[in-house]
Amino acid sequence: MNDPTSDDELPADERRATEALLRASLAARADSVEPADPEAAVGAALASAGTTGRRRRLVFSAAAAVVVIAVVAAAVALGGDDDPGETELATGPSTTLAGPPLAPGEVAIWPLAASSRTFDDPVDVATSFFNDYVGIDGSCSTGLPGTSSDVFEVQCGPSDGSTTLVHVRQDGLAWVVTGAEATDGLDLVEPTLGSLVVNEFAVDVANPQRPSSTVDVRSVVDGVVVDSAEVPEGGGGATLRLPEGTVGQYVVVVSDGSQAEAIVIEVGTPEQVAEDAIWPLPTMSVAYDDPEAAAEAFLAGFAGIEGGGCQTAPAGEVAEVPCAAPCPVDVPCGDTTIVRVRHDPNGWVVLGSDSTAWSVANPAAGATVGADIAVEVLGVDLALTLRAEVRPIGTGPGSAPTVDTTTIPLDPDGGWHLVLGAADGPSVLLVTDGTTVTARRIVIDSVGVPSETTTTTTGPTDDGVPGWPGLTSRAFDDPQSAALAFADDVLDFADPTPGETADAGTDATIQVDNRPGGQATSLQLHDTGEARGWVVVGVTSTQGSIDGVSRDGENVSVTGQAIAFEATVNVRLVAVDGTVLGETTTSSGISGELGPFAAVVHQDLAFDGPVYVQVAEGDASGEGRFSWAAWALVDA
Amino acid sequence: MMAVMPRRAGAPGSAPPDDRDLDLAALHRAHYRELVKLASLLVADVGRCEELVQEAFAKVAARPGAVDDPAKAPAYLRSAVLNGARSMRRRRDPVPRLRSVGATLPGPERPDDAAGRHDDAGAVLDALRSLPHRQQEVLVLRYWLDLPESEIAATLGISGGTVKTHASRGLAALATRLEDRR
Repeated sequence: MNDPTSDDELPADERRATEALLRASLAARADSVEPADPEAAVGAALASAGTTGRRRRLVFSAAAAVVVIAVVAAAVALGGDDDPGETELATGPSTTLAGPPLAPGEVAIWPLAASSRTFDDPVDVATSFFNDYVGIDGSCSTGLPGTSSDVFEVQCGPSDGSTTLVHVRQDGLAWVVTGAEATDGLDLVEPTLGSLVVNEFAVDVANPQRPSSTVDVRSVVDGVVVDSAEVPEGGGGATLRLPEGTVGQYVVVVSDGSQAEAIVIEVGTPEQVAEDAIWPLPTMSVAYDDPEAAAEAFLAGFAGIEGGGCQTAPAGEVAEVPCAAPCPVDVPCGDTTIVRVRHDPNGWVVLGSDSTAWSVANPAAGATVGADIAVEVLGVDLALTLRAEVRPIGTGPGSAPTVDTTTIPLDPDGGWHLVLGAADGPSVLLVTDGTTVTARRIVIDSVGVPSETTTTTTGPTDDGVPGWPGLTSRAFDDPQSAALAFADDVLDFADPTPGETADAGTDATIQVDNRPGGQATSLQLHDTGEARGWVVVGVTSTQGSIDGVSRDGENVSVTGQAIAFEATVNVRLVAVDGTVLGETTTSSGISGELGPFAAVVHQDLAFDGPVYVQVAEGDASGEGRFSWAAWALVDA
Repeated sequence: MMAVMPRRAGAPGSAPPDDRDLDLAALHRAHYRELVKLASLLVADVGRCEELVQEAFAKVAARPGAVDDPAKAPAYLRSAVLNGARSMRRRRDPVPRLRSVGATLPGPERPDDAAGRHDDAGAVLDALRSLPHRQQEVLVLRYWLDLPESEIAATLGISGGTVKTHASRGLAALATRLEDRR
């Protein structure tokens, strides 16, 4: 299984048959589907509007189609002069139809929750919002369809031509405002829509078109301005503060007097913020539709790890996505990064990640630390080089001042200090070996937390017993996972299936079949300690055994007995990490009886460490490489 | 921090809207049926497929600037339909997608049940829909639309290598599940 994809390859004839069946089935299904005429469907839906949930859904669907047809018609009528900004549209679906309730995470900011005002027209509510809430004298007159039939963007502005898109939607029978976006340069860069911040947070405004621009934070309920700041001419940053202990939803409004932006943010405790997303960065205009895409983009864009494939994650609002480390060709590897993701209203975001090759014991996720951070890593192979750095939250590699980067070969004490020179505040601690990464949010407080004075030195233990996977970064916490990984990665069984297990403290024997009901191989395992965990120390099978092994320079002679299909057994020299050092085939017993075999196998590759000889039978089905195997030690 | 909504047409930093060459009416006539059929390979309820496609066209109508090259409009629509189908299946598929071998979709979602037939095509579609979403999408784009790898990658926003991996794994898993059903 050295090639990450080889285990997925079907034999050519089976692949062709499956392809043909799939093509035929897809074609049959597609041919059987006769979509309704969209315009007829619209008419039918409108005619039956409104009494059941299903009917209501049809109405909204039909309204979406009406929008399409209306825009198409407008485009045709305008003969190419079809700037959508100039297209006069009806103000949405019939106002006698109720819209669905606001979606989770969607917040109405106007009319105020504390107000009894209601609006039955999207332009009216936008006009009121623009004049009364934002405080700009202007008018609103046109609307564009938004992301669905009950969402509109109403264009508002003063007489100078500046435009603000006011986002409105139908909430039941009433129309409400959910936000606003300036279109002529003014840009609220930070915070972003839906951000989770602590009660004191930075704002960054770009391109105000007039001097004396302001930014403020307001209560969602009553619109009271809690704090405000002036924006420097040309744009810039400021800090807004809410009373300590404040949590909940607030509105950030920036205005330069002719246009405005308004977004809803979430104010949380430092602990909540520490658990919040670290990817995508606030400066990125991107939303991820699935957790795998978010995880892959995070690994490449944030951690600099290209080529790691992420598996499909279980459905749900939060998930842990296993992402395989990129493997060099012909080198077995199985380390992964577990990327934690969450589904937010705007897409999937990354909360953090953990390497499975080693663990960061300190600082913990969400910990508040001083400027002198003691980073403690456990389970690291001594040959592995780790890099650690701390970035201010919201910044990526190279896009902002990197606080500190330390590249050291980890010593047996297992920890090091990062001495930082960064500003206090939420940050991301990133530790990586180049193929896996642990990333977690921490909070730096150089005033409130005294500097560490000693390094935690919890070193990994290791009793020194040799065994697969050798001195790599892999470590297995239990014998079952080590056995299955060995059967998968080294023996390349088609569908490794665990059987009987005998566990005696630090030693275990596990039977693994090459497929359910297939041939059995017994693996002997040993727990070497915290550093390397469980390793495979022996491989035996009732189908074959090795009686004698001797080395003469680069040639290794091996004798034994085996039963094999067509009396052929494969003989390999294998390094303790699974690398194949030499290979040959020889004849053995047949017809269900053990028969003797003898072979001389040449060691093509040098290896400084334990070397084993493996005798195995090839998998006749072609789904895996071997069906059983037996090992014997050549060089300790 | 933070999911960020895609920039809207006309927003700072985005290309100005220019849909002069985007003939939505022609686009609708040319691709509506094909897109519904595409969705129907992933979502059993044809009515919902029609909704998905209508919403995809509504998105193009609302955001003409999002399609900077009219030639790319069909691909954009395919992406929108696939994204919508994926979201719909997630909402209606709360159980982990690492299904047991031989799992099938819930009864009401299976048109074949209503018809009372379980032919080969139905079994293949059942098996296909039990695969991870990305594998389903890659297989449909490859074996129904016959899209080249580069176009599949562009449509799904993934690399060519990932397309190969999903195709290879998807086909192997499909073969296994079909074999298990026999």
